[in-house]
Amino acid sequence: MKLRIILALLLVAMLTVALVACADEAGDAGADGEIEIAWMIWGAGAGSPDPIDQLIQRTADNFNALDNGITIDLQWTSGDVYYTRLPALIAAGTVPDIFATHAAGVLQTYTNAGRVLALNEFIDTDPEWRDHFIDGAFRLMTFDGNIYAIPWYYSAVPLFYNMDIFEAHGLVAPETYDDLLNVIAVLRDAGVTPFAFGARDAWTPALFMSMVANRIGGDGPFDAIMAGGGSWLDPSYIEAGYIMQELANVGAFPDDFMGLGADDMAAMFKAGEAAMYVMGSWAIAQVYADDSTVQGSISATKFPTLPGGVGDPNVWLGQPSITNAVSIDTPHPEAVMEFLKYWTSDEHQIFLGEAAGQIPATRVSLNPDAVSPLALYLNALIAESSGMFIFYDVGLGRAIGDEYNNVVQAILAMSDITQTLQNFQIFTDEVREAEE
Amino acid sequence: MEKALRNKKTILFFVGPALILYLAVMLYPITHAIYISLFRWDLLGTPSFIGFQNYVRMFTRDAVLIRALQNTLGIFIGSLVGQLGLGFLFASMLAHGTKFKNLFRNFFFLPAVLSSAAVGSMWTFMYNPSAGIVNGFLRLIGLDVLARNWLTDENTALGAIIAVVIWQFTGYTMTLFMAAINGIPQEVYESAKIDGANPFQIMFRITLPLIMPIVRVATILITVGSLRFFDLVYVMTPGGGPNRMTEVIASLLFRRSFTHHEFGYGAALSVLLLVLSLIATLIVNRAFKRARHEY
Repeated sequence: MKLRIILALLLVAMLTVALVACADEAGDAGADGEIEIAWMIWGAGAGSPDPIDQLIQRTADNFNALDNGITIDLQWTSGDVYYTRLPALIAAGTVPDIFATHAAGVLQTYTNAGRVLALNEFIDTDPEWRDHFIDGAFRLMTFDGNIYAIPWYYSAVPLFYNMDIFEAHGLVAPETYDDLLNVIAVLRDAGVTPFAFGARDAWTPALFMSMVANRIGGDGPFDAIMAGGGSWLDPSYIEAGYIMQELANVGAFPDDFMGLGADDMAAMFKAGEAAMYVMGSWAIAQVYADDSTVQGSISATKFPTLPGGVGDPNVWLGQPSITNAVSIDTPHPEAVMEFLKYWTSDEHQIFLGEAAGQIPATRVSLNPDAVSPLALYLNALIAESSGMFIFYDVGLGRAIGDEYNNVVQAILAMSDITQTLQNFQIFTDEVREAEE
Repeated sequence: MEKALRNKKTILFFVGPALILYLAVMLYPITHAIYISLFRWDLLGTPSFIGFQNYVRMFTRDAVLIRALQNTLGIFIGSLVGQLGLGFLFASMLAHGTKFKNLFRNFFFLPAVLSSAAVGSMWTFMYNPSAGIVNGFLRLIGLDVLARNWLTDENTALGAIIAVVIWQFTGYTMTLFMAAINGIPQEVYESAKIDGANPFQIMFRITLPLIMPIVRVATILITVGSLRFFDLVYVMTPGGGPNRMTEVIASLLFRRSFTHHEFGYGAALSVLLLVLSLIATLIVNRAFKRARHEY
């Protein structure tokens, strides 16, 4: 009898716990009728050593400290699952009010599905704010005349290199592919890993190959593909494939690069274990992070030219980095816009330019003494740029863009280049056909 | 009471709720998956009908699928041999009343109740080339040369995962076998001892044949479980492993559906998995049909 009572009580307790644990969280109105806005962004969270992550946390914390009846609920998501989680949330209709995105083709998938709020009316009612952005700031997030996201900063991809390692081996920054092969040979003989490079996160080798392809064939082939035509069997892509395989074969990359991800690459370069690093300029923030041992040893240069290539060495791979888009279901668009204006205010843009070394999206004047020498140097290089092209996976959208990343990964695994590109072309055609 | 139980309506009444739940949770999603496999769908737009194109692509243009099938087969065979072999060995040793029988049984069974994600995280740390205890232990006993990057080296990644699978689930199989062995009457063993049988003969000629039904159950469980195995593979090698050397059908399915937003193709892969599981179960059933011993 006693046992029965105990069991019954246990059952009741379990059920109660289950019900309480599954109860829905409170809706938008928190305590005191505050408006709560959820903001989803990728990054390592509040404790990250990366100054940009720290800035993101600060903008949320400082905004919450203002007494304006709005609370920002910052939802950090790990970078490698961000674009897996975001579409699922959007499709389920539970996406946070504000979500970060890379704009261009990636954003277009969601705008085509009608899930993103057009921001024109809010931007046009505040012309002072609108004109504070640099020329063309909204270009990659405008579809059919509607602006769908607010940019924060821009990034471009140089070749970062560790000056100390180069000096120790009597090397200078490579300008041509032959220079690069020589640098790789010297470093390998000395037992130094030439590139911090990994192929586990497919987008990292993809950006490398995009640069190689652009140096070989110029802007033409990719522009054609972005316009809905073109071909992946263009000689510049096939040649780029061979170059990637050649680099792998001469030991340009770490021995186990197939298993290294973006974080591993950054850690490697930050610890001074590799001499070169091809990555977006957000890597400057990584170089100056709290746990980096190479602050002050890093310089940057343009990606080398390739023999017989028609690509302009002053063309950069670049794009808007973090942009914020707004869910069409948000019940508080005005509060959201108030935060977005705070988010792009000068104090934060100046921090991005000075401390993190990025290209701010608004016209702010940076104090040259406060900008890290690396950022100053890089910005000067970029200022002479004659053009910019976008990351393939961002420009082409999820289906084709992601498949491109896979193709590069397969090529690095020594698959047959022509066969792989041919299959990719068939895939691209199928996707385009289905989208009509 | 008996009359009530035999009444067809009563049977329906009792079975009804479970049947409805089963149809809703099992049958409907399976049919829906087969349906979706004929479309191209990225979850946000409207699905577009493409007939059997997904299957054509699967069999002619997907190089990773072949790798995934090989790896799935590898995990299947590794699990089968490891879990059945070790499970039977341990069960035989423990079933005959060691002093700490229950303690050992609980110890071996413990990993099976742990969440696979937690096990995966833990073993990822243990396999870490510089800070993990696997390499640390090898170095400690002077076998430095064997230390390697277990999860990022193409040659060892899959083996490393299979080892963890065996570690996690052998206890489960072992417990099943122990329960079965307990069901064998003592007289059989006594008469065997009288006839002068040594332990090996007892194990293979008496115990094994008599627990065949349980071996069959265990084999089916292991077969179905390892064919659709996902958790450990995804947690330990999230990118599919070095050169996709640890991609299995389930993780490929997940990657295609959720990372690349090709839910139609993912559904086609899941249909492939369904067919493979059915074939495997048929083969296992056939193989065991002949082995039926009574005591």
